[in-house]
Amino acid sequence: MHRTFRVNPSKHNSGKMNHIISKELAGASTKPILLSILSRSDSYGYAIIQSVRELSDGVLDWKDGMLYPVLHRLEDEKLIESFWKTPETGRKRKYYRILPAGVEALEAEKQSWFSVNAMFIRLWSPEAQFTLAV
Amino acid sequence: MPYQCNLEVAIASWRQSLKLNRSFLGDDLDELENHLRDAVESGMEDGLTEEVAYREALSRMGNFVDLEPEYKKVRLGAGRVKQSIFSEWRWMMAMFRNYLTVSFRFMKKHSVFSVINVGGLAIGLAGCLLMVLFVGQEMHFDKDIHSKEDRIYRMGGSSTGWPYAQILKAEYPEVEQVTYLRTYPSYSIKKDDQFFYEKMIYADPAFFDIFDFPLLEGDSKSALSAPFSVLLSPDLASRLFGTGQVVGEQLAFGDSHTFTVTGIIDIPENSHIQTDAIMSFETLRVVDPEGYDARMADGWLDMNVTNYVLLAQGADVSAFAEKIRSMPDEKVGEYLAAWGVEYELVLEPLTSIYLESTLGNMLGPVGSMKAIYLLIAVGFFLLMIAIINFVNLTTSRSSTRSKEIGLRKAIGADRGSVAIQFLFDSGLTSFLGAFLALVIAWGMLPIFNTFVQRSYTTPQLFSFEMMGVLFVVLILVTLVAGAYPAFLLSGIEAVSAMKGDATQKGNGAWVRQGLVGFQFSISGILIIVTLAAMTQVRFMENQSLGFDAEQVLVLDARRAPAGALNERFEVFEAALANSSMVQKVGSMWAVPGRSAWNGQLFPQ
Repeated sequence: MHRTFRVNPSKHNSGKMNHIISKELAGASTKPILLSILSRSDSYGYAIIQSVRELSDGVLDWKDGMLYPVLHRLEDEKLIESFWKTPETGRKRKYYRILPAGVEALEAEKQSWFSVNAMFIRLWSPEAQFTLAV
Repeated sequence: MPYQCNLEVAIASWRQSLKLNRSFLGDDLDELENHLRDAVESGMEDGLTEEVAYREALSRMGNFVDLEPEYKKVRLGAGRVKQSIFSEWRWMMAMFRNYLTVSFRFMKKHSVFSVINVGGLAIGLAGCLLMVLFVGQEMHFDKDIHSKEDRIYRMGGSSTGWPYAQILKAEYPEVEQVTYLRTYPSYSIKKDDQFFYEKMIYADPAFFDIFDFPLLEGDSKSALSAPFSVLLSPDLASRLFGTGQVVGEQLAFGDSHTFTVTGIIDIPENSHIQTDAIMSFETLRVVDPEGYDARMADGWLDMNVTNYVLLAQGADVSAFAEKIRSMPDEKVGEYLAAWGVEYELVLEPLTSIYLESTLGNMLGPVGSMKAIYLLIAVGFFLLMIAIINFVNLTTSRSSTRSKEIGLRKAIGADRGSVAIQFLFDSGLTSFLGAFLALVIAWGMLPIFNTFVQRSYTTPQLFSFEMMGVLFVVLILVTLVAGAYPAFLLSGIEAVSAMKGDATQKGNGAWVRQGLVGFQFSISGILIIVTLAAMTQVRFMENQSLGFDAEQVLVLDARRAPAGALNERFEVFEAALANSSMVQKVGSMWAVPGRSAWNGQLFPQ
């Protein structure tokens, strides 16, 4: 079982591997991404990972196992909570649900990201007017 | 379905590998396993074989080296409260088992070394244990027997004149109670034509107001009230009557007295008063009423009673002692002056009589504080030798283990866990040593008892206090012996440890050499002292006494009627001298080398 083997990394990716998000940015965006997904509906680890891959077109490629410590930390911070649920078909899964504090935190995150985003849009648009202090 | 089976085996073994790490809780493992299964299923739906799907899922999951620190941060960091006691315990037990396994393997690999190490420690500890037992028991004399032990004082030393205690009780409010004890006259006990010569004392009823010796039979309030009452020790009672009730039985004492047994008194071994029988003091009054009254009234110098006083609660002991100190001078000063003797009435606390009094003890054994200090010193040095020996052997051996340290560090052990391993090694060795020491001490107990003339029992050896002492020593030895390798060797880096050169810098060598030197000097001193003591004993045994003891016959005439011996001795002497077997006849109050009564004078 311990032979080396070839991995097929692109199975769930859509082939756009030309740019990879830096580790720092990936790290910074993890929390808002998870809170955003959970604010839409309760979900469990495997499903969250699938959503992230699809939504990011494979640009965000977390190691599956790394997701859980992040979820547990959010849980420690009382932003989300977890519960076991066994669907009628399939195995039992640990679901995560966003808490009111999580909704607030997500709002703050949104503000931050919008601000940064707005700034880049202004910076990068050719029509934008600004002066550089010299 | 071999594949299905393989998948289950693979998942189980993967799960097990995570389970051994305490960063993962059982809940986390369930979550991760379910995730893995989801991923495998999804891969198989996409047309992969089970094996490939599993490998891909595992690769996506991320490897242990990446995952573990993240989980550790969450589970052992701020969120530590979430860790259940059970999983923490399980983790500790797993590590414990590993440390123990490694320690055992090490001992097995170096079996000769281990045997010497454990054996040396065990012998040293066993000797030390026996000394602690002796010292502890000696220091425990007269303690935890009497509820009023801190208020009981012996008055006037081993013996004193008759009126003092009476007067003290009548005239001093500090004195709550006094009791009279005496050892003379002693009788033989006759039972079914058999004579018993026992240690016996007289005591008045106040004896039980002061002392709390338990009675196995009889009533302490009345046991010593009537004349010709006697309390027996359990041992004497069983020798005289076997088992069964003894209260009310009659016994012939000497030639002319009949005593009634009023009970069985169980005097603990750690009392400085030891006797086989206690007769009522009242008997003395009935046997010789005039003599008794005269002594009580005027027998200031009739120094053959022992008094104990019970002081009132809160009495100022030193002030009281000062007040009574000069009492003999006040009463019989001119006699004392004429004889050129000084006599002060002293008070000795009950619990210090056995070890600290220099005034003797008519009623039982005396100990010696000097002997205690000496034994503490010897025990301490013995322990030092054992520990130094142990430390040297252990540390010299541990420096050969640098490759092991290197390997441990290379696969992720931190300094702490290497240190713990070394402490486990020394802990295991000293534990075995301590266990063996108990076995040795237990086996040596009868010989030791003969040697120190005590009768310590196995429960005393294995008492809670003794085990406490042993445990403290065990921890001490473990820390001292384990400290050097644990805190020094654990600090070396993996690479240099693997090269095996890190421990060649002899930075601990001079410590070891110093310790060996110290150890040898102590051993030398102890051996020399032992040899000197043996020479002294041999001298004592072999030195000529000035007479040939083999040819001297002692006839005990104590049971001859009073006065008869003096009157008829010359006749007796002449009769004996006529015999061809007799060379010389003499008479005296005491057998040479043995005291006839306490207070006898010996030439300096």
